[in-house]
Amino acid sequence: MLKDRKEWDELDEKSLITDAQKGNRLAMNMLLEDNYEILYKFLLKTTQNEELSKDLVQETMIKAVVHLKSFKADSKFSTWLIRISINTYKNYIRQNQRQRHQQVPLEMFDPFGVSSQDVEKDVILHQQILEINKYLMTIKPKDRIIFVLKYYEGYSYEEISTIVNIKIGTCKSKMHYLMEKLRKELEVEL
Amino acid sequence: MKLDLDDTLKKANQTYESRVVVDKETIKKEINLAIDHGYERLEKKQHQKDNVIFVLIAILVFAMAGTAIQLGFGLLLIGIQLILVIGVPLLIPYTISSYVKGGLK
Repeated sequence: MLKDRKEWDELDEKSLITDAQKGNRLAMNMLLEDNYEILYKFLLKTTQNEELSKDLVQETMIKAVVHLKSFKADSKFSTWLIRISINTYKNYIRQNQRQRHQQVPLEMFDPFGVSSQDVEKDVILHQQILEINKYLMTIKPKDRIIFVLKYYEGYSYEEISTIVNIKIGTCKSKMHYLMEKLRKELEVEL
Repeated sequence: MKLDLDDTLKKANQTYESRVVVDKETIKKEINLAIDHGYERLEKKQHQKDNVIFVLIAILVFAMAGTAIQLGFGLLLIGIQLILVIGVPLLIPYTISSYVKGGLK
């Protein structure tokens, strides 16, 4: 069983999961530490709200600790965490349907974060990124999750269909529709 | 200007990635807090499970005791019935004969 942080490098994720399932707190700690940023970034891209993302990360981690024994390690730990976070986010939306949280997509973007030598190009790119964000906040959360998983997190359609529990065909057609709509919105704006 | 959506999305993602900087100490604190809460919930869940098992065992014990009492009473009633149906008729001739014998004396 894991006793020291230095042993971390010698252990793979599966051994850590096994240790954590046996009740090893250090193993649990390391698993969560290793996946914290992945989870937080995914939620931030999905919700576009820093405070909400932090709350959801916290709740997701608690649920992960509680249900770790039921995890069969048939997928990556980060994928399992993302699946839990999606359910937590859906629950949040259900509970807060009336009082919509404040989204601040505009503050999220640093126009100089992706700057090139061409200022005009940068301004256009910045504008496009803002439009993408605005667009993402207008679509259904379910669709936004698929969009983020596909285009920001780089998951395959097979993986997405498993994570969100829908058919691959539905997933593909939804993405096609969303992308076409986004293209039109951006072309109108430009 | 032609729109390269894939490239724009890639750059949108880059802005997020570069924007997110979380302090390592804060992460550690939050993780420790989450683990504490998680273990607390697990303990609570275990208590609830134990309570359900205790209640089920209690129901089972009472049901068995009830059945045993019923069975006991049933056997007692059967015994009484047997005495009444078989024992009493068997005793009648003996009682009559001893009465007759006594009368003759």
